[in-house]
Amino acid sequence: MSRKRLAAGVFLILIASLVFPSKSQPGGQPVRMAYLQNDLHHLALWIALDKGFFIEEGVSIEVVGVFRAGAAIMAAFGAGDLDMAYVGESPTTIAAARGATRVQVLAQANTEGTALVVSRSQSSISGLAGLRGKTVAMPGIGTVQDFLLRKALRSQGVDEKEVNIMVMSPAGMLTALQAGQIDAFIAWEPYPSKAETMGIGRSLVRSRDIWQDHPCCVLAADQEFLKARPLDAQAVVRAHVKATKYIREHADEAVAVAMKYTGMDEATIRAALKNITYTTELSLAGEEEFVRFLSLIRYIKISDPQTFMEGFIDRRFLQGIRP
Amino acid sequence: MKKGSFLLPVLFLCVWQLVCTLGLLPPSKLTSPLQVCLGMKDLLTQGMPPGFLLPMHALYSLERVLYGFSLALLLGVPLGIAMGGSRTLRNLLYPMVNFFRPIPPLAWVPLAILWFGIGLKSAAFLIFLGAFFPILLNTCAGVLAVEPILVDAARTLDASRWNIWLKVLLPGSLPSILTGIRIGMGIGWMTLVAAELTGVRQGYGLGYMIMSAHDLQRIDEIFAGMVAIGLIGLAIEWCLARLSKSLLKWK
Amino acid sequence: MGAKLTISRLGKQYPSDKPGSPVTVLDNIDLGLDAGSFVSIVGVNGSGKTTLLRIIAGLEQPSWGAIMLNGVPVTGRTDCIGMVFQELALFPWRTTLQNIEMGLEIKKMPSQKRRAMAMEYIHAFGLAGFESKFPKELSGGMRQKVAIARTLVTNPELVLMDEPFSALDSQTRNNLQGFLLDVWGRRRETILFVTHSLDEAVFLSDQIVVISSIPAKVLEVIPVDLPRPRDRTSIAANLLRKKIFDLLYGREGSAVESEAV
Repeated sequence: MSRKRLAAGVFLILIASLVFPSKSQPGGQPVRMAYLQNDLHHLALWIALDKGFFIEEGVSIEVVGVFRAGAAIMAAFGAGDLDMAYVGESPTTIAAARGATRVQVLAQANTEGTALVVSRSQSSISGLAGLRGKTVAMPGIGTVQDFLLRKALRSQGVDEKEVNIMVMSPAGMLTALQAGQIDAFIAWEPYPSKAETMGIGRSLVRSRDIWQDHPCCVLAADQEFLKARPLDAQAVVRAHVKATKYIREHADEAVAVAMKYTGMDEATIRAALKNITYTTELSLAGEEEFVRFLSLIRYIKISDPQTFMEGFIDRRFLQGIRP
Repeated sequence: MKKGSFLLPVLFLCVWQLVCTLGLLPPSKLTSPLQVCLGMKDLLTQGMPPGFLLPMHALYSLERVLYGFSLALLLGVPLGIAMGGSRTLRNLLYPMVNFFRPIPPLAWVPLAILWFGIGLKSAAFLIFLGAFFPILLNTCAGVLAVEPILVDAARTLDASRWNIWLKVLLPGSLPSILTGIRIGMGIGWMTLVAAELTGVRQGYGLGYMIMSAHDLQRIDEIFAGMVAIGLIGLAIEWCLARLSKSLLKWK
Repeated sequence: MGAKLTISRLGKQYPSDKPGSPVTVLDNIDLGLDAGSFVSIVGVNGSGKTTLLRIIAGLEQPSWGAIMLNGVPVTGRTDCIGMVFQELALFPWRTTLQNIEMGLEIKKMPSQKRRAMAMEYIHAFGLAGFESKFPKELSGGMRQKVAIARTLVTNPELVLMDEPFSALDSQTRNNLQGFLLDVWGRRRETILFVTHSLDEAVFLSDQIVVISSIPAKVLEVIPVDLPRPRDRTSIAANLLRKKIFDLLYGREGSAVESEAV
């Protein structure tokens, strides 16, 4: 074969591999997953990875990315880079409602576990109404925290425009609070607890006070993946249930794993875990509230909530498991 | 603007719309021009995040850019003139300038936040970084390009050093200074989205608007936001071109 | 009105690539100009004529020698010496009026007075109607008129002119030569005029200084006694031109090298 032809052939293969991304092959291939940075809500995943529950269930996991916020995970789903992920129910609902990606929710990961923390120096703020004119940071538009903040403000009759709501990564929130650049922040655990143990902030309101037993993070999966590899998906859900149970039964071990994955100290983790409820039970009423409020604040436009939810939540994978 | 310059963009839009209508790419990946227009309508009427309308976003962004750009102007022109007139200064500063210039403003985001906190000052700093180098280097080049014979002529008319600066070098380098300004403003405007990563306090900013559209999976509004940024940049360039033309009537 | 200029043993050297052997451009130039006289310097291209003028103007320093103006030594810039350059040296961003005013502006003359003086020259030089035009809008001849006006408006006693008409076409050139003689005739500054056109030198000057190529020496100082207004085509003018030509280019037409000192 002449050199020119060889070069042309290599060039064509190169172009082809760029233009036609390879589809994931069934069987033997790892399940591509992601979670949020330092988000204690995703502890079940870390436990399952650490204790080898996935391997026990006969499936291998590849952690494709650790993300800053839910919207980024949804974008990764949309690009076809993820099979399953732990992610907030709010950004997942938004992405599914927009048709940006076809995901389904297979199981709950946790409820509650968020808090609004106010700077220690802002001693005058005693309630949500005191946030008027203040700067409050949250992890991103459409996150569960954003959702809860707006819900809370509205419930107190405070117009969102009266509060300076800023988007910031939770890690940046601690520095900003300490430096006095923000007056308050709302974030997932362990950040609120960390602010308290650092002595730079106090909890103004916990998420359960805004909406009791509210669903928070879920285990979501790409629809194409579910169709192609239902057995792998089932295995992941089984491992998830096992890990969630493990958290309840082995508190100290759970603390150790949490410390490993967040790099935070024991006091912070123990305080944080008190605010989070780990459960796998899906709540239709909870999802309905997400759909209702997200439509109210015009983040999404759903004409038929029931049909949407039917296509969004898939309980079959949970039902096959006896905890 | 000549009539012929509209032909290519219109052709491009038609092809784009055709690709979308025929479904050659999924709508989640590529939004059609029609949907972008509708997205633009939403940005103007509903706003992104909801309740935050496009014109205010543009205003706040313009404020940030003007702040950073003015700093670049105030520092860049005098320093550029000084460098143009002094070989020693040039030799002293060129290495540092050439070292810092290629570092993209985006890389400065963490430092900017550390030094200036979140909000206007750090955003202005990033924009300053983008606009400063073209202004400095073009001013310096402009001074160097002033015909020596003009300086000689001024000297034979008994111009003092100060006179030569003010009456010869400054007006003589004005064309290059204006070029530097146009380039600096363009880069400053381009740096806007990166600059707004340092944090947007009052909830307004075109970069912040686009990020919010991304968070809420509104690809059509991401495109529309980019179109808005492009159009405003075009308008700014047009204004500067007119200014240049009137100041440089003598060319 | 004009000053008396005396140049004694003026020399200029530049360092060259070879250390220890600098390039001598001007080699002991001696020159004397009577007050109010019109003297031309002719020489081949690259013969250091411009360097000589620049030194007298104070734009460069001589390596040795002395320059005296009315008996007073000249070291560097003197404000009674003006210069007109061969290339476009008008400030392109200034109008005709502003260009002419430049010297007065630098001298901090109040604007009313400046404008009046400048307009005088504009009218006298036939530039009326062009005071608000920029140099790019003027013809070559007009530009040089503006350049001359700019220099003369500050009333220098010695005017140096470095081939001011060489970039013009011959018709404009002839016009401007006549114009210059006209102006000089009324004002009588001392003019030191550099040119490589023998015709121009013969037409304009009281005296012609012929210099050699680098290192430049004065070959001969030729008085021009022809009556004014001069007839370019007269036999005397032709003979003079031939004499200068032979001096510069020798019998076979090659440039004459100066003898080593």
